[in-house]
Amino acid sequence: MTARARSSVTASRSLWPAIEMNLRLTAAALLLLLAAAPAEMAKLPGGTVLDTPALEALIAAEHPVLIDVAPPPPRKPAGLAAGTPWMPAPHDDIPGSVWLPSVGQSMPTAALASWFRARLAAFAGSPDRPLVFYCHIHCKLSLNAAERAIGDGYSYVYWYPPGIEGWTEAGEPTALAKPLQPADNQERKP
Amino acid sequence: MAMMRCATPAPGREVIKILLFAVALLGLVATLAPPPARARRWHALSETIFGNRPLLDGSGTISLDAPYRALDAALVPIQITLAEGRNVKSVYLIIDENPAPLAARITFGPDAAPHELKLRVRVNDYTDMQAVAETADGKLYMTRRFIKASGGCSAPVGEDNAAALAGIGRMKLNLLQPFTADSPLEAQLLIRHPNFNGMQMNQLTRLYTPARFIDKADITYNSNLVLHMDSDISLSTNPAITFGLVPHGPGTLEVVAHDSQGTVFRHSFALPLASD
Repeated sequence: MTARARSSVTASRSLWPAIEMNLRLTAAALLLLLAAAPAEMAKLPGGTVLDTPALEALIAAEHPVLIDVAPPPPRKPAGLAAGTPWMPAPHDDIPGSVWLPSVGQSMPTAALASWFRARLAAFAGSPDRPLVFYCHIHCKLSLNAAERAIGDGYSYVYWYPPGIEGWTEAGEPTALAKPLQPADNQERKP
Repeated sequence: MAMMRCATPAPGREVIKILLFAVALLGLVATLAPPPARARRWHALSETIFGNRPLLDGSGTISLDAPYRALDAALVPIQITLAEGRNVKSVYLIIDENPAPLAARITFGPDAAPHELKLRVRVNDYTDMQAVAETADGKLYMTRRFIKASGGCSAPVGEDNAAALAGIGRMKLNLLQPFTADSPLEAQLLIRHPNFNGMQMNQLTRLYTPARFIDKADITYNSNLVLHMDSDISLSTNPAITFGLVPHGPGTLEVVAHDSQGTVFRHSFALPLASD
């Protein structure tokens, strides 16, 4: 259309209503997109989504239980050449967190689910204690775990989607984490 | 007071100049050097991989290109470019945050045109990446890049294991330039292989798929070595490598690849390719 509009003035005049309509439609679509944007953002029904300043404020004011559900440390694969260094990076998380790897899996075994429930009860002490779930950026494990906690009746469940990457990028301190796993889950299955 | 200070000539201004310079220098150092955690990690890695051999500034010798923010952490395209006339005999690619950080080591043979190398890699976390060139005189030149990607190691291969294993070892060669005898020729080799890294969970059985990955490959032309690659679990599914060779006339490009289960895959291509 632009090519034709450029070709002659009369053509561009006769095309103007069509262009105008197009512009209106584009503007309407843009407005719709803007209105829809917050709905597109992270959501946690029955809980609250946090950004970094909000998490900082919550930690200072309410001493929530911070639960890191990042995947467990990798297991050395068989067949790695003798000279290849195997050096999994140490996992750091938000200071004061508990690291419960695997509990955010989409389909946990019954044993893992009940272990998680027991751990949560022990750390929270009461269903009114705020709980914050996070893992890595763009990682769904923390959302899964947060939804489970809401289902178990915790009143103040928070989800921090930026994860440890977002926390680190904001210049916040981190601490070396140690995984806490059920006794029969210490080793990943081959 | 202010007047007095302005009136005092050289020394005061010199101090201010020096202070400003120091601040600028600190700022520069702060932007160049990675934050302490990443620096500590690299220190440990470089010591393990290179011992106490000095790593020289790679600018003018080697450069590393990768997307700053990767679209798919399981398939991050990287490109290493070597300057002409630097006589590089091997190249190391190190992805700091990966559990097996030395992703690949490539050694060039007499028939190589060591100019450009492209690979596709998995990236586990936000990480520094280093490319190191070793020149014929034994010196090491390093370049670094930071990239944002996360979860590339546990990402499933994208099809069920049987499908991923079908046609394992099939190879394809693309010539990226017209074939001319005695001229450098850029080529891309594709190897069909799941390159299972042992960290991928089968979504149906909930078990981790055992590791199985290409651990070495040799590319020769008329029996002369073009390159040898040592690799591991950091290479993406269906490894792809773009490399350069100097074909001295028509001939046979042979690829021999091994995987961690001891399977050997061989394929020969007659050059120039029939379709060219």
